[in-house]
Amino acid sequence: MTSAVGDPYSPQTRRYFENPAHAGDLAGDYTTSAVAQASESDGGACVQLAIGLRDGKLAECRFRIFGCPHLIAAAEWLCSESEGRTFSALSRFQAGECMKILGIPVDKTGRVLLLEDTIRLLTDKLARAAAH
Amino acid sequence: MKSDPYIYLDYAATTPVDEQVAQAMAETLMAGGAFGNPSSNHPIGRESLAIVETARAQLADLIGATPRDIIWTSGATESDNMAIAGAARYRAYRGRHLITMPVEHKAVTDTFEALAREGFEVTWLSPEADGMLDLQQFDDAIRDDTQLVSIMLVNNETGVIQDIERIGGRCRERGILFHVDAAQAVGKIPIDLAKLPVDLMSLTAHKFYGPKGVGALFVADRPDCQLEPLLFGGGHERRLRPGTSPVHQIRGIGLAAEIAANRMHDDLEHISALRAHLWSGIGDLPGLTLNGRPDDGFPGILNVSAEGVDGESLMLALQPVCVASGSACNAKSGESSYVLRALGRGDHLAQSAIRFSIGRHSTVDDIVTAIRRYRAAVIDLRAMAPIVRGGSA
Repeated sequence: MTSAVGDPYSPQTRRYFENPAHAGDLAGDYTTSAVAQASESDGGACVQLAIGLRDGKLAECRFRIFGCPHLIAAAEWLCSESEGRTFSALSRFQAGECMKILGIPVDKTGRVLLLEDTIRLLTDKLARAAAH
Repeated sequence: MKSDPYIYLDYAATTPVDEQVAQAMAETLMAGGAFGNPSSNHPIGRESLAIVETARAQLADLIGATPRDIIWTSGATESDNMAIAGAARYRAYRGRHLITMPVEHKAVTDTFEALAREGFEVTWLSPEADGMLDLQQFDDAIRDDTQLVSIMLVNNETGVIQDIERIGGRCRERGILFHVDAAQAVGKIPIDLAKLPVDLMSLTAHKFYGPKGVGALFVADRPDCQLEPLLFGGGHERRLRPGTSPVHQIRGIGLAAEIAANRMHDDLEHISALRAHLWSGIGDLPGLTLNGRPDDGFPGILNVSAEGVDGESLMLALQPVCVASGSACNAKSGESSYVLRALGRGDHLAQSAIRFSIGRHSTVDDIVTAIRRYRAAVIDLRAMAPIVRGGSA
């Protein structure tokens, strides 16, 4: 669904922005967990993702963000969609698909791509942990 | 009213038209009203002309001018263009040096930049950290070939009020034309052009409860204050601004000016009290920076930056309170305010700025809601941010 004329925020973006239930840090204890952070090169927007895995599934997914409403909404959507799934489902996240679902304008692509960067860092961390 | 669910604290962007003004304008537009062309030599035309001239007198009264000094325009942007480009080009044979500040409205800065491309030399005077012009720096910038100075009265983002009397006095002593963009000041604070050394002054109706699409340029009726017109096509408005006068718009600005003159004292007291209430309600939050001069700035504007908060998210979290992030003119560009950056604020602090602007219809309840929403938004957004920002890990 698109936003009203001149309104840069779709109803979906507003809904996720206004209810960031997954903002914060991991609350539970997990056998496997990881935290990763990515930010814009100019020191602007910054995303942190934290995941807790239990029985091969994402039991908890949390974010911290300094950034615009679209990025906050995208992170909240990502976390709420990912919990209960496998990490490989999370790693298949594509900024373009998320932007389409949330009606995020194209000029915010760079921001939403930060989520992809953060997931890639999480993947590396989990791979390194597994190698140990 | 459609805007009822919202709390409007963006009066520096625009104001709602006064009901009395809207009614008078509507009457003027329709058959039976003074809808005629003021240039027509028949009773309906003459009735329209009388309305145009009554409005000219009403506006002149508000700013201490004489009616002949008032040139109708489409708004402050046109007035700024007409004044700056018109004066610079008219006086180009004497010299091509111009002075202004980077904190001026885009209607001013863009015009100066256009003139620079024509070969004029522009000196941009940086403001002090509080937004004021350093008069010593100003004196040092003046040259023998300086022809025009343009400094705004009330800054649209910070509410800073420049010392127009002293700046204009220095210009007058040296025979330099002095233009003032007073879009944020007219109808809101007392202005007496009979006493102020100002040659050209831009204003617009929609900032003081008049309609959009009409404004004026004060052009002192003196032989040395001449402009090259920007438009051609008739002898209207002292040959400076051709085109059929929009009688209903002009009636609107005239009546809005009269109402503003009558209400100014009460309006100022009202907005001063509300701004003080607003600042007392949020000022104790840590990491806030007040942009402007709280003690002697225009009391209708409170501009605050919040460390560690994204301005766009803050603005959305504030809704239904309608405010501005930077100025309304560049809010959509996503860039941080060029005005605040000129005051030395870093990109992040400038980007986090919220301009609350209070007006005639603002209420204590509006301010209480704004305080509650602002506090909650700043606290929540800071709580959501990574403990340490930057880098990738």
